[in-house]
Amino acid sequence: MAAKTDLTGFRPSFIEKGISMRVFPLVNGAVCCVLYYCFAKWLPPSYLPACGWAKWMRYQVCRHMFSRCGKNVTVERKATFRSGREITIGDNSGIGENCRLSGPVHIGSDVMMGPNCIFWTRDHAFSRTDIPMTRQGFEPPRPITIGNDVWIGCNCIFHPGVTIGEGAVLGYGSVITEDVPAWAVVVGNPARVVQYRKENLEPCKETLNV
Amino acid sequence: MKRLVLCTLYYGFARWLPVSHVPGGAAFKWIRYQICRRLFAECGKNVNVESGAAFHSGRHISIGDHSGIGKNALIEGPVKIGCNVMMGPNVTIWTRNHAFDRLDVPMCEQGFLGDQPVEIGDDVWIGSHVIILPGVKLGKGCIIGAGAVVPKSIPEYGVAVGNPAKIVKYRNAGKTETKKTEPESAARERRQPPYSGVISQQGRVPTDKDMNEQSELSKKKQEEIRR
Repeated sequence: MAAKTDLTGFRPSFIEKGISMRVFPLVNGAVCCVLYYCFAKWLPPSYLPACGWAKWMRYQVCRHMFSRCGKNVTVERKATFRSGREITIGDNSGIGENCRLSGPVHIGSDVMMGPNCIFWTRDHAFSRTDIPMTRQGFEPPRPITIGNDVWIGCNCIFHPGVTIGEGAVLGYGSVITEDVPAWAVVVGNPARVVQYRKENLEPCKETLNV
Repeated sequence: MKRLVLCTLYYGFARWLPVSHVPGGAAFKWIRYQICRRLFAECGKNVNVESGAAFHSGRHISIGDHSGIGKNALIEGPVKIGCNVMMGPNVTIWTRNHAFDRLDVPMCEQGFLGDQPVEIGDDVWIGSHVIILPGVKLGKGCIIGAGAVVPKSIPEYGVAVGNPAKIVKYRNAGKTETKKTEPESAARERRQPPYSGVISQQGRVPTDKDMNEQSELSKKKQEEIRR
């Protein structure tokens, strides 16, 4: 009895802290990386009829790759995000088809993302002109943060370190160079605010009244 | 015949290999390089042709040392690429336009205007999703921002962004005057809000509290604008 209690007392601390907390995520991450990039990435897109199993399979793999992963996350076909260790994603969010996340990206809940979006988290250094840019390396990475309830159109490009506020809408093909305030609708290259989804935030009306 | 075999090898096999920056990607890079070396008119050393790039037969393409063709790039017709060129994904380079002078004939039956070769100089950085139009010359050391559409030539060391691409600054402008690096870095720090720093340090999904804080911040900004 005493040995058993010892074992039961010993086992959780060893297995949970020693193995599952340190070794398991790493092993899981590596295995899931191989599984994802060799297999799950190439499964059919989730929106096709009777392809919910592909979405489920990708979710089951990506759950272990992301540092935080909410419920009901949709990762579409051919999305790439390196090892996924620097990515957090909330509930009911999605990563679009053919999207590319290169570095730390924090995605909130209820985010919709179109295909072909690119998240750059670091720039090439180009301050010197005497040596080629290819040999100047990179600037330090700056994480991209996306709030809850954001709609990202297709072909959007994000510069390093931008923050997208809650409820923002990013138009098709917009290039986000600066932070987007909450509830804003932005379009264009470079992206500019064209309207706000909440009326009391709209600056144009106020100026008109004045 | 040799070109036909090489083209079949490239478009049937090498083009679909994984990208070069994955672990073990050097082998794929090497395979693509060995095929493209024989397809291109001129090809320098250590050229990186990424996965999914298409360039017809490659007969009219010349590329210098240590350059790259980006992922899913589409190159149509004669293009001359210099040394040390970096190219992002989904870049499209057009070298001829449709003819559209006549109104009585559909445009699809009017054929094309002549080829206008595109020249890309040494040490150029081309961002992702860039579209380069026929006859454009990119000077030495210039930078094309992501998503730009380049209808006109860019001079040496120019930094061009937007649609249509406009020159926002020159890389060599600050060298003769005072140091421009310090105010630039200060501006970058100013642009990065404290909010994103908090998130990155804690490494978590932004909660409702964080987002409320941010919306309050934006409200304050709006009030300032009103004042």
